[in-house]
Amino acid sequence: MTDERRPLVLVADDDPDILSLVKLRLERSGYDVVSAGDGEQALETAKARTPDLALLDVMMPKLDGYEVTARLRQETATRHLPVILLTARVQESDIARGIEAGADDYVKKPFSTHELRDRVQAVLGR
Amino acid sequence: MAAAVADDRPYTTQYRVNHADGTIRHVVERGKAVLSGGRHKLDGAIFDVTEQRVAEAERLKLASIVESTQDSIISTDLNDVITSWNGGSTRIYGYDAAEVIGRSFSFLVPDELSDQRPSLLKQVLAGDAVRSLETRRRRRDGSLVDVLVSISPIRDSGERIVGFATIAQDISTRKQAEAERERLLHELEAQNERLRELDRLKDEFVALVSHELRTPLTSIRGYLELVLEEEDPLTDEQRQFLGVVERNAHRLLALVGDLLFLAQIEAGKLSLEVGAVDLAAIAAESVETARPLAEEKGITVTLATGPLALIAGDRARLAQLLDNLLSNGIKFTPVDGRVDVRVRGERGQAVIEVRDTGMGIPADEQEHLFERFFRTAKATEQAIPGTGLGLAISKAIVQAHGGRITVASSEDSGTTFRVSIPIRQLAPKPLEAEEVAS
Repeated sequence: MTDERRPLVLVADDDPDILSLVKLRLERSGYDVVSAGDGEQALETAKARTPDLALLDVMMPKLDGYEVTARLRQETATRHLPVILLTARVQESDIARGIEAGADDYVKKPFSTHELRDRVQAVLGR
Repeated sequence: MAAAVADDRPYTTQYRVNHADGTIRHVVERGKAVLSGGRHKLDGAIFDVTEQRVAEAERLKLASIVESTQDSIISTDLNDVITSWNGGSTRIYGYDAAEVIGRSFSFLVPDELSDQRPSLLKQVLAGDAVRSLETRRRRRDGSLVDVLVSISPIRDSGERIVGFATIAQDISTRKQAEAERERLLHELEAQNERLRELDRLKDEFVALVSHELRTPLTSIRGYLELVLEEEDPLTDEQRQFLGVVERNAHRLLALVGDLLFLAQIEAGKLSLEVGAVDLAAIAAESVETARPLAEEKGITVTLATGPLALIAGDRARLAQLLDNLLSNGIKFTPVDGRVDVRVRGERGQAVIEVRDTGMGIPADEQEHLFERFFRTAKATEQAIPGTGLGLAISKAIVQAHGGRITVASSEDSGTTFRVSIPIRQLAPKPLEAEEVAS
């Protein structure tokens, strides 16, 4: 742990390019990032590292973003972990499903990384 | 008779006689020549057969009617054994009378209907004749024929039922026509179903493609942003090139967005996020956004707003509508032209007008203007960029708000698009593929 602890953000997406893009942007903006390539890994990492925020892609192999969110809500350690869903699905029903699962916010793909950073800042209150 | 006499054989002869009461009687004479005293004497009897002859003539007349009909007329006895068979029966079933008389009727009945005939005969015996029953018979060649059957009792002089008369009409032609009609109907339905399925697949495909394009576009834009904000490892030229990449990525993104939006409309899945919307403010924003592009082309853009209440609508979609109309105006107006936007309330409607001094749209093209992918001949000729989606989307947005969009234009003097949206509509109608009057 460094002297001035940077907030830790979990980023999960099965597209490696998106994953490193988000990682780069958030690191440049003063966050630490831990990444996951699928839903199961995201769930494990969330339990092991207790991040301050999770950015979850909706369409992921093994467990989708909705399911990961729902399971995070069931665990004591991650019950209050803020979740932002990244989604290319823009139907209202998709958004409603995310909120139902317990997500705090969602960002539509394609997103501008600046917009993403702003949302992260808003949720973390920085 | 002379020969019979000469040979000493009995004879029979028929002739007519005039009766004392003035009528003509038919008689039959049977006799034998008897030699008596060297002379032949005729010994016999003369019978009056007039009644039989009349009955016979009547029978022949009926028989000829039975023979002349195209229908099958078959009589059977109480055991359903065939006792008569007309020409119509031969024509329909293929058997000659000689082959079938004395046989049970059952060989004409297909196996799967073998229970039907006995119960019908029972019904006739009970006094209830069978009228116009559609059924099937087996022909001599084994093929089946559709027939319309009536069965009536045959009674003797004592009114006792002694058999059955079965009359059948060949309705195979009619049945075939019906079957053919049915088949065509089914085929049409199947075709319609296939078309609907194709339409659905197309919409799904567009949605899928648009969706799948979004992820790589996110990467392209995101990494460009990262490169462009680097502290200065780029030459001006490189920076300019990357600007071109970014602009085109943006165009591609807008196109994907438009396609996805249209796919949603087609699938009937467009829904509005309705709130209280200040149209004048939206128009002001659109004009500000468009101004740099307009100034580049030397086009003057003005905005005039009249009193207008807040309307119930989807802010983002209405902004998209205004952006579309405004960018069209600028795109199709030559240097030094004008684009004037007016927004006001008018008799319970919010009215938006976008008037340009552009090239105008010929009357025959105006009616197609709101169709997907339609582009005017001039737009294509002059290679003015565009996809032909903007106005289709604009129309869909207006209709989702329960409003109308119309165009007025004449060549070389410009075009005016007019949108009217009911002000107090709180629950916008779902989209219909309704035509817009132009």
